[in-house]
Amino acid sequence: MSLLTLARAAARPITLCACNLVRPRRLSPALLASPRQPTGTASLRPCTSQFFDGGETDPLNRTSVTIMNTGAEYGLMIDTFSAAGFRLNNGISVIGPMAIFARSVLSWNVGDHTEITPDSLSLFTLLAPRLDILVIGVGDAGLQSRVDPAVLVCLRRARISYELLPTEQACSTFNFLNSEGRYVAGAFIPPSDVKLTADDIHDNVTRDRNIYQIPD
Amino acid sequence: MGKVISTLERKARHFNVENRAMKVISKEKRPTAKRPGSVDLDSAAAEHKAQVAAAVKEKDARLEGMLKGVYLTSTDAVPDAKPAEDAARDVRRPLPTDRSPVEQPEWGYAEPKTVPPGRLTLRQAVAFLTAHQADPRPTTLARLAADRNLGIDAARHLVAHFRIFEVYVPDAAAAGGGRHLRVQDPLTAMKSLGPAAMAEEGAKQAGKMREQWEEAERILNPKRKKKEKEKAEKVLDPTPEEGK
Repeated sequence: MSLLTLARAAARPITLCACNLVRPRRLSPALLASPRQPTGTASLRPCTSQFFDGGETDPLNRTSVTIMNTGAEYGLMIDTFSAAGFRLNNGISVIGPMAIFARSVLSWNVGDHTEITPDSLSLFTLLAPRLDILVIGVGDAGLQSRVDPAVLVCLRRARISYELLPTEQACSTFNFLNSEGRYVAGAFIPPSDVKLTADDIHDNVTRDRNIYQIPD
Repeated sequence: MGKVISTLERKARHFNVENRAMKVISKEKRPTAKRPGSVDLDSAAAEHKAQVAAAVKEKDARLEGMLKGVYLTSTDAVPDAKPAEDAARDVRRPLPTDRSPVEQPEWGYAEPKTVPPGRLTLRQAVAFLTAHQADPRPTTLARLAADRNLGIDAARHLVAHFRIFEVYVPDAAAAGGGRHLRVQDPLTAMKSLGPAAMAEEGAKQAGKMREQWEEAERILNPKRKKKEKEKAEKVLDPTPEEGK
């Protein structure tokens, strides 16, 4: 990664300066309580589409693959996530929960799934062209059933379609919906439990090695 | 009663029936239709064909006279040199004249021209949050809410749960040292974060915020600032260097 950019929830800038590595304004209680530190980021499997070119022009019948996350024309997508936040396909790392739209991202000030309320989703119901779909990533798998039912009632009343998913699936869902050009919004809380594959660990090691690399 | 009537009717119907039947039977029979195999269709068709072939070879004076009155002239079709202008004449359904690819909307969706009261477009919402963060006093919030026809409660929920991100980029000068994060100017940061419009809206409100950021940067990178200051002093006053 050539550009390491950190974006984080706005805090009082003066208090930030005391620490070297910037802490988010508000970490999820689950994260603080967890003995497990955010040691790495898990990669979302890239969205791929394949085109089979065959026949006389290409006797080898080669396959070409398009990785959607690398195409800027698809809009913002989530490349990886960790217990601390998300990394987007434009190289920006987001710390903490976020509200993501087709081409913009806002900080979402909630701690965990219990704070997903009609009030904390107020922006999505206020938006003037009604959202096609709202993808809510609640964090860890299994928490979506513990979300306040009043949220669902509120969203139905506002006639907004929604998907209530664990954050990992929610990110993939958002990526796909956004690549299709729908007017989609995502409200994601970083999961506290991140399962890393061997590929993810390798990526993390490589990234850490080049963490101070400055883009040319 | 019914039976009496039907009995009378039957009598009337059968009156002199035998004589009438004999009269019909004794008539000479009419010729029956020919059966399918009895006609030679092939020969009839061949005959008709021969007649037509003969008629085609003969010159028909009537048709010839009609044809002599017909004169056919033709010219090359003139290509439509300016289709765009022609299309523009039809005001109701003008053809498209611009063939450049459609630009992607700045915010990823088509923004509406009118917004119902009490609602916000994403652009307005971001401007709202930016303005609030630049001046987070309750009175300002109330004024902003009134501008957008938002209820004060809705505005409070909005600013309580959503914020604009601050952006940090690695600093080339500080990359080797311990402090590797540099606080970026909020306006530049917003430009790199999102659409240019975000920065434009923010520019109106972010003067105060910029001061805070500058202060933050001074505290984060005191050495760098000091060096810059020294450099500036050297440029201004080169005498100490000469003295050495």
